[in-house]
Amino acid sequence: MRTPALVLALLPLPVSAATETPPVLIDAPRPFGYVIGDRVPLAAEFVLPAGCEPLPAALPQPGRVDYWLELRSAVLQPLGSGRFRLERVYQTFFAPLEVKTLTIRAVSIAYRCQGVSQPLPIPAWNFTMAPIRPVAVGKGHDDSYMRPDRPPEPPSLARHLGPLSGWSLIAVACGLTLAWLNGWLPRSRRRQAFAAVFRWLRAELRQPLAGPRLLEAYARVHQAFNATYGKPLFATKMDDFVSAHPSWGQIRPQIEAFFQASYAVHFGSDAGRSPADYPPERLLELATLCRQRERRA
Amino acid sequence: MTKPHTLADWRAPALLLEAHLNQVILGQPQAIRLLLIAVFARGHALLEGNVGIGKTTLLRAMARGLGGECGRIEGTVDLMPTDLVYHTYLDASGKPGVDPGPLLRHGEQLSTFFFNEINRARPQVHSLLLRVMAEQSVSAFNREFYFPHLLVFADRNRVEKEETFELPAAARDRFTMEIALDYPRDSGDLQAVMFEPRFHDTSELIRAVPEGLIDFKRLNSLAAEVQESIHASERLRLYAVDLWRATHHPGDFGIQLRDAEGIGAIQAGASPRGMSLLVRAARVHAWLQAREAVLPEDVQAVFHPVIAHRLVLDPVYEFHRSELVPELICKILNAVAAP
Repeated sequence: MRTPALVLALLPLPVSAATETPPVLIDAPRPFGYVIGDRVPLAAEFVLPAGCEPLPAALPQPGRVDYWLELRSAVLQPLGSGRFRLERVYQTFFAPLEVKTLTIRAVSIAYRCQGVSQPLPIPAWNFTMAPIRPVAVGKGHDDSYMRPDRPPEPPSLARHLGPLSGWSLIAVACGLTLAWLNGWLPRSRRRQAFAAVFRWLRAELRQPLAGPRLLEAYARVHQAFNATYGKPLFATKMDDFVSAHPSWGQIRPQIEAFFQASYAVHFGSDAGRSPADYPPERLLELATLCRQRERRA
Repeated sequence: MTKPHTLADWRAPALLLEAHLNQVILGQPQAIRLLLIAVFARGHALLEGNVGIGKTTLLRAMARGLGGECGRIEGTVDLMPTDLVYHTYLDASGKPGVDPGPLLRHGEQLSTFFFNEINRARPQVHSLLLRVMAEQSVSAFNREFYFPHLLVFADRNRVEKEETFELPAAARDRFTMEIALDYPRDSGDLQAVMFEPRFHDTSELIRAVPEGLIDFKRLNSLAAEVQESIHASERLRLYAVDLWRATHHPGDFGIQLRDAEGIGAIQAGASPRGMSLLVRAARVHAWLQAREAVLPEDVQAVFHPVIAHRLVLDPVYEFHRSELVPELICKILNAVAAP
């Protein structure tokens, strides 16, 4: 059973109410029966004069206090009418061999009255700790008496699993959509033939296209048209192609210009050279238009 | 009309002849274009179609347009090779005589020879014709007769099977094209043929074609000039080779025939001579289209008439030839890409 111990810190009497240090009341649990790893909640209450307020920056910061003591949290709560309660939670890692009295040292916080900062000491607090095992393990004990340290439990992720699953699904869906649009999926290659041509041309056009690479560029565009048409597409089959793919009719002039240029490149008397009125960059423009139609299909 | 000098100049009279032929035979523009291509490719042509469709009239009109002399013979089951070379008779005084037959009668002036219903003639006759077509010469009367300007046109009857002799593969291969004629589909053409008096007398109809519109003696040099001038690129050559491979190994191009198991239906694809004639015809097609280079479309336009009759099917499938071969040709053209 918790037995609060009340400690009244009597400080020198102030000359005036504004300058005298307010009394601090320590509200602590039992001062005995602690073992290694226990948490020690320690509260302190005080009343500040009217017009005064505590300075949050002067509160003790969580962290290591001593080699055996750690401050886990320090929270200041206003209780109204100038009353405040400072709740600190310490955790002790001291491993005594016998019952021993330890002291949580005094700390000092501060408050401000009429623009003047004043220190407010929080007194020290004593408690006793006891060992959790005897100094030496006797012969009568088996090996189970000495158990290894319990491994730390991983932090619980239960509350994150829902959002994590949702976002993961969204990410996978976005990835699949992106892969589909870019023709990375095996089954989408036929439908996304121009996406692959577009990527290839964009990479190749960083350097001037000529010779075998120019022929390959034309060939790749032809292959994409063939994949879209389902069979080899020739210039004379354009009516049939457009009737089978009506949305492509809007870019028919561009397609016919490509075929005219391609036939000059492949079959003309000056084969192998790009026509002057059809620079290789127009291949990328055509691939862009075709990719847009392909995505809408 | 001024006398044509350049290759381009010759295109106008060629197209004029085509226009006249289209006035004589209505509703057959494709067959007439193919026949014109055969003439300028210096290739012999085999016409096929139902009776009364105008095959003979078309060939007579073409012969008139080319000028020169025209020989003609009707294929019959008792026709002998010598009947083409000479014929014997007794004159009014009872004296025997020997005159040159239809093949020799005009000598080197013979520009066209029309063999009507060739499949009614025996293989011996086909054999003689093979030599005439391949070598443009024939031996008779202990000497050689040459026909440097000769084109052989033939038609075959597909309706009757009795007393007919199917052309052997070697004979079919000599013909550059087999041109199919179908009934006119346009109602206006049919009405004109039925009601216009000018179609009642075919001889009068043919006289509407200007005689010798194209000088047949110039055709050999003109055809050679076409073959020299019309460019065939490296890529087009690869396309033609791919087409040739597809006729032999259609399975390599993913081609399957609907009613034939696998690709075993084909015993032999197009011959090298056939592919050579294909390119010659494609060049002429490009020239008539006023192009300086051959395109895949030129090859495609003549692929069926040049190649279809050269494909040799397994005898099991030969009976369905009329359905299988067009399907195969169509699939080959739809399977081979260029570029």
